[in-house]
Amino acid sequence: MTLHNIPQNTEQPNEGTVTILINSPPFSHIDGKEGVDLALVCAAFDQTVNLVFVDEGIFHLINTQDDDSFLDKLHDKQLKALEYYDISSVFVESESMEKYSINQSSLLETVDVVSQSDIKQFCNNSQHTVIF
Amino acid sequence: MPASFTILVSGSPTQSQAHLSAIRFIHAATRMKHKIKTVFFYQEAVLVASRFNIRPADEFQLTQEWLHLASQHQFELQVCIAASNRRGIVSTEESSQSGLSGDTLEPGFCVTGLGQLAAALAKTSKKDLNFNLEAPQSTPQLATNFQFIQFK
Repeated sequence: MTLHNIPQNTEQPNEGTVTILINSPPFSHIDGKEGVDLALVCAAFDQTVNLVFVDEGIFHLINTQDDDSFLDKLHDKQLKALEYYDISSVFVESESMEKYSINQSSLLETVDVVSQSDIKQFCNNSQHTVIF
Repeated sequence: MPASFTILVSGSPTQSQAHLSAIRFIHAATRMKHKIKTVFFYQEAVLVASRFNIRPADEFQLTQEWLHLASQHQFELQVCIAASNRRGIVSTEESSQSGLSGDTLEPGFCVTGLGQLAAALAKTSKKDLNFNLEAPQSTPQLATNFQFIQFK
């Protein structure tokens, strides 16, 4: 998979860019869902959104989530539809994947793998970073 | 030059230090003649907007302190409607629309949509300052000229 939409390294933050960083797991916390909600609203308000999953947050992206084994609504359907809501920059941190032995083949196809230093760049280059 | 701050509080009033940190920040900022534009409550933080919170009299009265600060420094206390409704914080209007027997929102707080926060993010400039002690290393901890702050 190729990397795309990585913001350029500029000294000034990109006006109108928000990085939403999700580091909490999908089912034990509601933070990730509420983070994605904010990402969707920011995109609707013409902000450029980087949606970044790190640490336990990467489990939101597992592509084998199963309706039968969980009572609540699953997260992957909403995440698969993100590009239709003008969020095309969805990233996952490679160090976190290594930490939990997750391969890219286990994750949603629309996600790009980036390094921790790339994510640092996103945060530095964004107008704001909000953490969930 | 005085700055104007938009503050996002997302941490729980009982399980995090977010509210206490945010309040201390507002005390310090206003003492230095900076302005607070809006405080936006999202996630567990909305629980502070319940008018049914009863804390023992010798403990810090968080909800009252927010109301006091807001009237003293003339800023709005905005609560996300989706986050608050799913946690039982319901305005009079929402209560009657949903056929509930009563409302729970403290009247000093106003209910808004996430769009208000998105608009504030678009309007405020520069980096945020994050008071989350467990923030991953990839998050900038400090920056100059910030105007938007998250207390998690």
